[in-house]
Amino acid sequence: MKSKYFIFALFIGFGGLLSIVNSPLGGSKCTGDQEYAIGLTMLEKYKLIKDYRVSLKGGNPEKPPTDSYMISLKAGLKYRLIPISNPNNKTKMIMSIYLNEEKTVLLATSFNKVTGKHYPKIDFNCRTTGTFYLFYEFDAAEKGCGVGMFSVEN
Amino acid sequence: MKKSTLSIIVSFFFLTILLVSCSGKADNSLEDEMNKTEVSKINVSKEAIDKLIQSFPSPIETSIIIKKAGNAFNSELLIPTKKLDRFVSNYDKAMAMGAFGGDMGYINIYEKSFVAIDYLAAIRSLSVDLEIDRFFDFESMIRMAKSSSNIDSLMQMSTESFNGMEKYLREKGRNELSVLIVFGTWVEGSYIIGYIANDNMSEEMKNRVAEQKESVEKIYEVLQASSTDKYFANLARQMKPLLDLYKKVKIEKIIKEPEMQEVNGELVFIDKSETKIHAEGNAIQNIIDETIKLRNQLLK
Repeated sequence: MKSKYFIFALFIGFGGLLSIVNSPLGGSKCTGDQEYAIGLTMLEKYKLIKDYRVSLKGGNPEKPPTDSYMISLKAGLKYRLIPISNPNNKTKMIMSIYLNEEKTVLLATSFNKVTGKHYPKIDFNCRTTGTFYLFYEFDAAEKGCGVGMFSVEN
Repeated sequence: MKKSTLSIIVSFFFLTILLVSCSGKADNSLEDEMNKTEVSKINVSKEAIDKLIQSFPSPIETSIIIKKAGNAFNSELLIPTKKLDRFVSNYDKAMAMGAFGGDMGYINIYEKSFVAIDYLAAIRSLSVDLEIDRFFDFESMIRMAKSSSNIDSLMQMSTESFNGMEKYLREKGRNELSVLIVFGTWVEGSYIIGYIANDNMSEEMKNRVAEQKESVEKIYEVLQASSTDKYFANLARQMKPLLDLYKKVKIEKIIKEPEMQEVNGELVFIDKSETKIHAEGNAIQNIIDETIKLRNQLLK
């Protein structure tokens, strides 16, 4: 009888451990709802176009794990990017716009590599209409989750 | 002992599967219903659809462009909300829903909340028919529209609702509806830009018409790739003249490094790139005429 309970407890324990290992924040809940609510307060005169719920596992800093999305930008409009990291992350989330998927031309980023400073929001004055790439990653290729807000000035 | 241990493991495994499948079914009754009513008939990869949808401008951007160019609000440009039964099939309704969503963007940016009520009613009716009304809190949205001070909240709620619906449709493989909603939004936005440019052929409005070229090419590609379905084949055929006209427009982009400035602790990037647009003869006027014709054929 004891062995039955032992096996049952083992299953529950193993299942729980698996979910903790697989979760980017080691078991903490990360729905993004709180981050989203914070982001809304930072929009000011900007109008939300889309929010992105990001969750990444850690990786090699030489080739950090990223999430990427295509975005449409219009010449003459001013865009605001707001990366909101989950407070349980070890490092902050970085939000960047690149000209192409290969990340050869950086147009805007919330992280200044030279100074090591993260910015809570960045504005981009667009002069070229087209399709660009929005990239998400975590500083030092750490695991983490967060919400990115993509908005446009009215 | 070993036999009983094995039986416990097997029983636990099956019990888990049973529990997971039962709980999923209870939450997904609507999804099951949707899957029953119509199966995706278009043969375009999820990746291609994702790229198409991600790369399309939102109706908010299109409307801001129109407003920034100094154009006044014109309710006559909007699709009539009466006689919604002119949209017969689910495909027609999805396209109309996208177009009404585009109009909502225009209405919201100009803060004409009193006009929004009829458009919300039209979107509600179409979304009920398409069984995607659960993404919209129409009661709250209509209440916000009636109180003009809540226009920001209405705009945000509209954006969230359309984004949620679009994400759901794509995740559930309802690609044909996603494409048609995007197509409807795009047709309506292009029509408004074209109509305004017709009245005010400024250099800026000409450029706004010309820069639709990329969208036209992308959407035509998806419609053409989906043309095993008659509805999509017909749409591709109707769009072909517009695609041909856009071949007379050349867009040259000169990409330059942006300038970075820190203003009051905030980081601002100023794009230094340039775009040069070359359009042959009457190309822009012909594009405007064709866009207006296409929209009126499909949605009026």
